[in-house]
Amino acid sequence: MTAYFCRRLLGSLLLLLAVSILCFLLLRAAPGGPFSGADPRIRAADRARTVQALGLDRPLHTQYLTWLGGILTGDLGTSLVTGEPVAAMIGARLPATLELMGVALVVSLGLGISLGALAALRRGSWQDHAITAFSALGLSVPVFWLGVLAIIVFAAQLGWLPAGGRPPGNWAAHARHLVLPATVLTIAQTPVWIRTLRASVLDTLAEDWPRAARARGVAEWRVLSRHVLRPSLGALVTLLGLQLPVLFTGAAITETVFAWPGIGRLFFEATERFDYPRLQSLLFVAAALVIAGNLAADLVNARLDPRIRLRGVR
Amino acid sequence: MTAITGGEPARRPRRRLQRGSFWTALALLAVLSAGALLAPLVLPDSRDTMHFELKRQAPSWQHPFGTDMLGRDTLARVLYGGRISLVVALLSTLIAVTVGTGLGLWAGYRGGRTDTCVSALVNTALALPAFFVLLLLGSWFGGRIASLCIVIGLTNWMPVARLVRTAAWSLRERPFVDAARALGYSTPRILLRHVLPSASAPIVVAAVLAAAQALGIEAALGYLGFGLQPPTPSWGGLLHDAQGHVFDAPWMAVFPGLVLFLVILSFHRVADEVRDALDPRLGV
Repeated sequence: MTAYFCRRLLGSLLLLLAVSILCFLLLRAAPGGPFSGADPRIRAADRARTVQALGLDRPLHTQYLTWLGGILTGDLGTSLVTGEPVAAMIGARLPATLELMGVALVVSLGLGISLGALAALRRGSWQDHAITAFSALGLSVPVFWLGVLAIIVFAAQLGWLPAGGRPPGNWAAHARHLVLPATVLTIAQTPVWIRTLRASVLDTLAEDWPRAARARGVAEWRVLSRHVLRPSLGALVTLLGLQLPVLFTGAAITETVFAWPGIGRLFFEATERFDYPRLQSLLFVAAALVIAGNLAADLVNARLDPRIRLRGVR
Repeated sequence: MTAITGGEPARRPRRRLQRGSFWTALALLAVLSAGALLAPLVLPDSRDTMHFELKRQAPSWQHPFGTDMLGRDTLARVLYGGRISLVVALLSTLIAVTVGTGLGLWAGYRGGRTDTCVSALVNTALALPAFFVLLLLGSWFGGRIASLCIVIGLTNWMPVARLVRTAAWSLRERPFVDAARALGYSTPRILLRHVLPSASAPIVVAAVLAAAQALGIEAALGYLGFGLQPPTPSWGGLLHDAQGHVFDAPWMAVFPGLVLFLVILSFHRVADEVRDALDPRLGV
């Protein structure tokens, strides 16, 4: 396990380094540079002073190393628009994203596991058809349009729920604001779990051990929970790591639709205002979160399934 | 206690249901493409004809999808928008499939260090949050059709590369590839004439899925205001226009989105059917 852990950690760190280079180069490839959105009446001397203050006159590799060094010490740069440290901005917005993602993840996993298992156990029944149809629809619906639709129906027409935002304090109002974005994200994510679990349970049902357990007189609910469902969940854990970026993207889109003040919304605002230090660091932080989540999922998976950590070891 | 239905008897109605939905999906795509192509012939109004006295009209027989804030017919704009959106999806898929197939074939066939490098590239590109990269590139280059296609194509090639790499990897030890190598054929010739045809099934499936993905991306970018600029109608642009009228003209958002949804659904359905047809083992 330790060897596997070290290998995966090293791999993740290398990946993080590659991602940091890509983030840096991507922002340097911007047409027009950081001044493209700025007032053309800025004097040349002021412009030169700003360029110097931002360190843009130094060679590329120096700029990169300065930025990377800053990240290592927790300094993610300063926003060009507000003058705030980017780290503080991210810190203020991260809870909203984690909240949205967390709620959607838990609810969608619960729904996905129960519906996926039900569809597989009642294969060919109307429940199976209904669940399969739902997952086909959910996999195809554009998340942002679902969000707009939810706003039209539940906020504009029925007036039941707020159309967006996230008020601080009062948890009841907070929960009301969370309902629509979390539901939209859940609808988009649940089908992925349903599909995988349905296929995985069907595979397990075809194995010998459920039949063997039944032959031993084990109670049916116990056969299903212990001998069928539990071994089938492994496929879901594997997928969890791979799905994190997808969930994050979904959350970011949902945030922009519902004005939910999370990381996705923060990035969207920065794009509109050409706030380059914020964009560069946000891109990196989001990638780092995804890589960390992936690593965690892999480690959990390796803990559960010894075949994974032993693969590649001779 | 629980009726566990498995095996053959349950499969036939499901099969028929699937076939039915497949033909429905194909028919829908055909009708929509025809509508988009023939829009100038079948529609009385052009996409830009404004009727200020008919601003934000609810759906009616005259205007089945309603009218927008300038009194333009939403159905006409959806059909004209379909031309743009489908072309963007097609071209960007072409880019994604070309890049993905090229890199995937090369990495899978060569193996070793090449494979490590390409895999590292794929992993790095996948680790970057796709939505952020798209927003960034879309805000810089999204305004024109050609650059929008390149942006979408270049953020969409990774799944294709992965699939093709796996296929090429499993093919490279096969006797006919060995034979081609023994005959002294060049690597490009072996890849294009011998490996590529055998790997074409997963490529076709990946291409259809990439097209569906590209449609969704175009629409999302357009919706956020980073897509093609007005007055060029695309499905994303139509949804962007609808943003300010969620309360007074919801049909402006409902219908373009619904058409987009149905097209993506149809693409997914077609991809599933192609996969099942090409690989019967996967059909569940």
